[in-house]
Amino acid sequence: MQQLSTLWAIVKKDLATWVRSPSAIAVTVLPALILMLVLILQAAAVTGSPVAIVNQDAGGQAAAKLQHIAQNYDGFYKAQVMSKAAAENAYQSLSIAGVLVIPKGFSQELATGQHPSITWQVRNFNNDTANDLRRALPDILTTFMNSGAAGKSPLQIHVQEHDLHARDASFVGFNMIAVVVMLILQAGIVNAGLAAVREWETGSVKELLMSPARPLTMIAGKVAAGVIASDITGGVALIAAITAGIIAVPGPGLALLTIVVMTLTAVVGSGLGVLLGSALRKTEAVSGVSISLSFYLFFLAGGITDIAYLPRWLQDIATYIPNSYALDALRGTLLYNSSTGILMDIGVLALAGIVALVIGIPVMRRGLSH
Amino acid sequence: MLNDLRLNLVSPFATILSLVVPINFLILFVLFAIGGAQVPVGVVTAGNGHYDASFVQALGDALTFHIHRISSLSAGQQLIQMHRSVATIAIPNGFSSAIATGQTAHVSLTLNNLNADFADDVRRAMPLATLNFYHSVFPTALPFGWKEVDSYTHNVTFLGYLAVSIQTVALLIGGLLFGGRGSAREWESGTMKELMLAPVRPWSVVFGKLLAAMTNGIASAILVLVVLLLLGLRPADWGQFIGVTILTLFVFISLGVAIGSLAKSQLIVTPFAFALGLPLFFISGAFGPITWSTPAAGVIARIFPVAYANAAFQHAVHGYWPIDTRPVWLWTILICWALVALGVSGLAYRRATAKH
Repeated sequence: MQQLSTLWAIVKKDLATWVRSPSAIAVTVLPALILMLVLILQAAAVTGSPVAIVNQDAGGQAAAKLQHIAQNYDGFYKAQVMSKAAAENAYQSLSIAGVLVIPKGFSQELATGQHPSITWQVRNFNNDTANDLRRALPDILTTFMNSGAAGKSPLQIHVQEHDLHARDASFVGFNMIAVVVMLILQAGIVNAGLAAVREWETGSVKELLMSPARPLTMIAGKVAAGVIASDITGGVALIAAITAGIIAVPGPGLALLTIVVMTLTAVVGSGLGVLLGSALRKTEAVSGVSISLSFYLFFLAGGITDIAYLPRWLQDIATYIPNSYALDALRGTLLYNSSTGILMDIGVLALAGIVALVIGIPVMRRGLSH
Repeated sequence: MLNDLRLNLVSPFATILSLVVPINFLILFVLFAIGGAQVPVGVVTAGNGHYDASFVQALGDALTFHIHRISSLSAGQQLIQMHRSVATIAIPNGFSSAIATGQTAHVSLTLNNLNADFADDVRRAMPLATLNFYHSVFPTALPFGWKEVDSYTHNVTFLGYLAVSIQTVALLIGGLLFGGRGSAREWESGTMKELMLAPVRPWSVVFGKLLAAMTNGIASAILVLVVLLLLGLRPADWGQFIGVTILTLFVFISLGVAIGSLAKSQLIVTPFAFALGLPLFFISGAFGPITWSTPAAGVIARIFPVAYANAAFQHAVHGYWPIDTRPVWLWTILICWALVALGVSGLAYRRATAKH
């Protein structure tokens, strides 16, 4: 009972120190929050580039249909109809990434089977943006042919799509989960790490050692304070994302699972933090290493992509990164309304938390005994 | 300056950490770039007709897919569950005969639609594969043709473009850390009083800090350059590459000294460097020109020097300017930023010491 009250005292003290320390809060939340802001700022442009459509076949019906399809194509950030000269100017000044030119007499030549040719001018600065444009034209042309505006479509291949999720998650929502996971992990690592190192730097470690508290109680208190701080920061970010309409409110069952996953992720982070703090014992080193470590864990778990897109050797590494499982579970509960596979994710996170504590506790104990 | 450099030797762990932070960034974003290059899909063909092979070939040429040949739909499902693939494309038995006789052939696409951006890449690649297929096996069947006119003969890879952008953010974060930590350290260790009492002008202190941080920054920049060279990215214009490296470093080291003087804590400098570096990296033309971005992101990017430095690096390495600012203005902006940053660092130091 006495150990419990000691544990609670350590939790209260560490949390109070965190709340009163703007620099600690800044270390915890600033990088991830700014990343979140950037995602929102960039969201509209990330899925496509601005282009121009030049329709030189002004009166042609087929050309008008093709122009309409291209203009309303959802793979472009913006598609404006322009004159050839205006498009050339916009292209040269880098206002647009591509120019689609429907040639003069296109409709007439199409009707008489003369095989007209469309031109697609592409600013190929790099393969990523250029390939988006290269994929866009065939998509537009297929829609055009299937519309019947070019006569009977010769395309006899019909793609039947079966989606695994009822709807596509938004790009921002998908990445927001990654940022929230990074935020929780980073908050745990930084806060527990700094809470541990503070005892050495302020000399209060001596008082702790002279107190009747057991080393395990002290460590558990530090980890618990880290977990609470992490859950608060992660929760605030999540509520902000829900309020902004980026993420939908989960049902009660999924919300409970979300909290469990967040807390287990925080335990992993705090365990790592105690380990780092006890091993390094310097604020400067802990803050530097912990931020770098958080970013490494973020990217090794797929970062703003999914581990399926990583090369095989990186996928193998991601299997051993705990936040891969946190990402998988939170994307399931918050984006896809699903709890499939969550038990395994929770199991792995719990195991990772135990491993972090099993390694962290002896290191801190050894530190305390010195 | 020498004192700051010696202090680096006294705390080698923190020094090494600062030196490798820019490299860390490069490595992490390289991981991201190699990840985003191709979409892994499982392809299962039930038949073995002539057109089956042609369609698989067309899928491979659709600029999108990294194809795993699999034996069944359930194997495809398993790959998706294991995060080894994001879609399964099944070409049914009788595909070739249906195509040969002008019947409709149904190709099944099971898609793990993780988000709209990823899913659309797959959805849009299917028409490209279909048109590629018809273009190769029935070239006269399509009622019209199309030709792509590229601006540049050489296609720069996503990794090649992104790695050069990362050079800029590495200098940004490295510069802020070197400048900021060197300056904040004096306040944390209490040695600022001694500096203030010493018979030296405030500007000498600021210049000393700047030079020490520049020495560290250049060492770090050389490490980043080595990684770029290992990735096969060799600057075509070395003069411009070195010039923009030194200017960018100077700007951010000066700003780092200012932040360090005002914050007086290394604990604040570190997250500030990351918090400023990451967003500026994303909005300053890391993936493509800022003019293709949202207006808000474009306006913010134009205020800071990162977008200009990034464009100058891309030009030095790849030979093109991915910005609508003329080179003479671009250099003027960078030089003005260097002067402003120097002024800000001096003022911040004076303000911090005056309050003390």
